[in-house]
Amino acid sequence: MNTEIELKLQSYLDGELPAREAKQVEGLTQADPAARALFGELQTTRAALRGNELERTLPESREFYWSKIERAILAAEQAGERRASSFGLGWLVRYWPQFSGAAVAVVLLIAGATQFNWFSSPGWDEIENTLDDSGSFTFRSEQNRMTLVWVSSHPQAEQDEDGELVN
Amino acid sequence: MRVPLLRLFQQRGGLLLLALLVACPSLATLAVERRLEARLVWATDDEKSPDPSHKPLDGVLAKKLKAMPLKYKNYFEVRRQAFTINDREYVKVEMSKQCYIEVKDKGENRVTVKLYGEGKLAKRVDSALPKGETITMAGDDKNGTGWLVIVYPCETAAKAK
Repeated sequence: MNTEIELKLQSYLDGELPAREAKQVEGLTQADPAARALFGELQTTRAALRGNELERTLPESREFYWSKIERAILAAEQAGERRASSFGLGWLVRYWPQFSGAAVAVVLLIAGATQFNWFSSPGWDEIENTLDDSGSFTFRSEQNRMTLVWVSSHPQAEQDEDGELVN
Repeated sequence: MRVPLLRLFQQRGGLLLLALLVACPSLATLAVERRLEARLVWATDDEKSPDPSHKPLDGVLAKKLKAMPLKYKNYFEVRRQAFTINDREYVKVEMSKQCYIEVKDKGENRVTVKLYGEGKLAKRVDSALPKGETITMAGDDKNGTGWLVIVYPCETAAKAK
């Protein structure tokens, strides 16, 4: 007897076979002693399970038992939503090395940009005009470590009509 | 007891990084600032200044000026201003009602000094200005007198006093 016949016997016992196959299996149980023996064993086992199954009683009513499960599911869903929408410091505690590194990089970038003018346009650099040197001369004394720039135009006074300097 | 560095960093790493975050901008700012001093000096052959508030210039600066090829016998300090420069922008220093200078740190002990008279740029000087060095801009004034604007690092100021 192969497995397929065993399964058909089980299905026949459970009343799950179509009428045509049920007739074939019924004929088999009458003609084949092995099939008949297995069928009888299955009937005995089924009867034993039905008659001796333990009955479990719930400590509370059915409605209250399922309402507890429902409340637990709702509470778990609401907790998940709160975690997803909250801005707590949990993420900061977990990822502080990454955030600290990024913050240091940003600070160094800002410091470098402000101190070394990384992002300033080259066109904004000052251009020294050679015309600045017109009307002036420079004397350098290495011994005294002094650079003297003589400016012929007066920064504090202007000449009047007679050529006199006035304050 | 030997404390592993890794454990110390794990326990106090946040504080160390926080300290670094706070210190970085401050250190970067302090690193490029320089303290300078500027004096407006009136030069004359007269023994005394008509303005009693003018003090005769003495010390190292007076010796330096007398060693320069200038025709004046005496120098009187009109105004002295201490200021701090940086490499980001010009610092304006008022020397008189008509005259002011703008100074900027160019790095590597170099500075740019712009001299303004009556609101107009009269002279621009780009020069090294390490300790002990002096930049002087000068010109004629009325009645054979002269004026000088002297800029130098503050370390020189202590010697000049």
